[in-house]
Amino acid sequence: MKRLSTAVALVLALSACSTGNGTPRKSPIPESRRAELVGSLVTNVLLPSLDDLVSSAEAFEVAASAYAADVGSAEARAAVESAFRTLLEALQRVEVMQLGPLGDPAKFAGGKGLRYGLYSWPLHSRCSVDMALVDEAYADVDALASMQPSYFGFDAAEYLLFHPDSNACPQINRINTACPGASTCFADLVSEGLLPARAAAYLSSVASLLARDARTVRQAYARDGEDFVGQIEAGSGVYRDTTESMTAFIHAMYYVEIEVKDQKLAIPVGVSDQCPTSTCPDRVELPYSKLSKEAIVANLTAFRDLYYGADPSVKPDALGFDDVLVELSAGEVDQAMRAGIDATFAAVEAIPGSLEDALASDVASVEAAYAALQALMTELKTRFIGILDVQPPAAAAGDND
Amino acid sequence: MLGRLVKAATRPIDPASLVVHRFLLGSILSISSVRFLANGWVERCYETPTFFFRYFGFEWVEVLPSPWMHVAYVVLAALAALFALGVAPRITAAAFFLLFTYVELIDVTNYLNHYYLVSILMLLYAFLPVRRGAEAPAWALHLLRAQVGIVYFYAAVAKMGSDWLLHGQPLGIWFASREETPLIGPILVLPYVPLLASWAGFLNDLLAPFLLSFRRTRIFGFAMVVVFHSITHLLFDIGIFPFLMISNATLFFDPSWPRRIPGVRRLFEGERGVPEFGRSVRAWAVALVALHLSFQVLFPLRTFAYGGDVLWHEQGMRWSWRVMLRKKTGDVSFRVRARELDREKVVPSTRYLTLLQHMEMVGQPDLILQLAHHVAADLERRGYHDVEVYADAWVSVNGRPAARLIEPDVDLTKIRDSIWPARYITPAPEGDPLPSRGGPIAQLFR
Repeated sequence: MKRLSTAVALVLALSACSTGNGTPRKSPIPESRRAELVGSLVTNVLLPSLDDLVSSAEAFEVAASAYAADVGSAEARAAVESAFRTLLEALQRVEVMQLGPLGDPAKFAGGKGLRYGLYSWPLHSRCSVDMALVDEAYADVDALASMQPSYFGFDAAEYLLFHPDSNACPQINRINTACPGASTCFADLVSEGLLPARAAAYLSSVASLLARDARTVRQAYARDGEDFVGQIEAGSGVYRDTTESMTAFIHAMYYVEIEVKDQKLAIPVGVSDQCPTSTCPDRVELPYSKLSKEAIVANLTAFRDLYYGADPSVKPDALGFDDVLVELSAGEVDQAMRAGIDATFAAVEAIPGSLEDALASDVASVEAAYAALQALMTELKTRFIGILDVQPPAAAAGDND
Repeated sequence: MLGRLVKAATRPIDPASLVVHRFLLGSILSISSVRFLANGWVERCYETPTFFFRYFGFEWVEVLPSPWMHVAYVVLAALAALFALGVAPRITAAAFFLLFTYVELIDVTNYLNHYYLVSILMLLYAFLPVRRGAEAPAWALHLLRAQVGIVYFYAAVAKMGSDWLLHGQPLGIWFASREETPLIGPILVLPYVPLLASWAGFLNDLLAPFLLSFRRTRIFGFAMVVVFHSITHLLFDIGIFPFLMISNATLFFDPSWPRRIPGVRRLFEGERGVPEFGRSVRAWAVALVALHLSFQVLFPLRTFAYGGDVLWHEQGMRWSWRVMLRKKTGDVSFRVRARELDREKVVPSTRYLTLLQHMEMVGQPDLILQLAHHVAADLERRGYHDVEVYADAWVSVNGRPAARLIEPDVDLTKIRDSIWPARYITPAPEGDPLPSRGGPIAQLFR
């Protein structure tokens, strides 16, 4: 009995000394395989996407500069529109990879908010762009860079490239009340035919900043730069281990749930209560270029590539989440994810013409795309994260029983 | 017979083991309260949320404004420390019980079975005549033992399901993530280990109260309990639960066991004699003990009256010692209709909840119902009329394909929560859970 008493006391004393800090990292994927997985995602998806972003932003800079120098040229116009579209695809892919410096510091470990320099959507201020346009406050690129991101990001570029003859400011704004005659009158810009040249010049400055910011982003991640991908691959720095860096990729994939499903589709098509009427076509992402559907396709492409570990048509053998699900005896979940991805692509691509046009002529097709994406996201939020033992973004740890 | 029972129950016993248990329990609770504060959980659980899930019958419980919830936890830590030290133990136990139960009743999100157990133990201690230096009536010790035995027994009953015993789930899913646990990690992912562990857990819960109750098997029972709870502490984020249950197991030892620990003996020296109570007090005590134990025995059984799969519909899940039984992941959004809306609109549930609340809600139909009512109230406050709310709730249990948890065509604003079987919950999906390593038990016998 004495020995038992001593044993009891010892056990309890030891138990009381234990802390919860030693809780082991949790992932059903073995450490070495996890390292391979994040390595694959970095090498086959993240870094190529950042390279594409830089090259497309630099191409857009060149095309915008040429267009500003020859606004009347149809060839220059076509070139800059084509470059814009290429940049859109690259940028929208990177939107789904906001882990680390690209991301919001409040949401992502290592976040520096670099994404906002490229694209401030859904925050934008087109009226600010119009005022800067009237004031010609864009010539000094460094001064422009010190302004709010809505003055110079990709959304500003879209607005400037496809600028209507009207402006986005209320009637009481000085660019409308100073008309006619004052130098700050927007209507005079239009009537005197100055708008295209000014917009092109502003666009050129914006394009320069986009290229600069794209290079900054790549530098933050690149192995020969600040090497954030080194932290991702090693599970070091802002990550405690590769479970956390792998989880960061999954949280980045939630962009498709939070932004694409609930913002880019649900609001314009009217299923969201943030749209008070039956549809809200004015709430599409890119109303001036009418490329909102292409933006969604690019977002989905990035999601697909992150899932498969690479573009499956280019590198079908790349290690991705599909492979590890199969290794975890969850091939059925992999099949459901594959089917969901395919169905979503099919539904989005089945939207006739642009999203903007479909909202006027074929709302059902947009609703079908929303429904397909919703089904895919349900799989993501239930079995996918369940099998991989990942909590949704920003969920805090706590006790269970 | 009754006379013998009464005599046995009222015979004086050494209070030493009860005093030690009180010390351990109070210490654990004091540390737990400090930990809650230190981890920022007061902010997370009580200050950040704008909406709280209420317990049926306790909808009137309101959260205190900042900084009073912090103050409440400081008071809890102090009360528990005083209780541990034996300072006015019945008063501190009663005060702790009231305050702790209050903070637990604020939001169902924070429900944990072991918090319920803490409330019960402190309630019992508020009435138990346990004083250092005075003998205690035997029934005080037996009551606590019975309470602990009930917890283990019903935890075993809860495990008597096909997911647990035949498929090794959800341990299979959880073990897969614990391969890097020191020492035992590589073992956890071997074939059939989740299934064997499931059976071990079931047998531990079933046998622990019996093995602990008999002198010959006690040491084996205690060793089993210590090993079991130590492993669960290593594997899962279950806070104080393992320590609480290990300390509870000491109640089953001979009442004088602490006197055998060198250096501790003198703590228990002093006057002797059981406190004397009048006949009417004794009668009340017997009635209350009988009532308490009857409730503890019967209440967990209510889930069988509901039928179906409790892991799915969750009716009878709480306060029944159904611990760590399911891995539920899911998502809920609401479709709303109103006179002012020309079409159905989707309201994401995350708008009203913290992520922790959302994660808890997705698998619990009564919480989904509560939030649906809150969404309706919110819309009505914003000027909408004739509001209807429907839920798109998709849930995966133990790796099964996600299925609808709530009938999609039921207007939840028309449903009132009650103790009766809920008709707005869909039947549990058919089919097996995700296979654990090695496969189901049937594979073993092929």
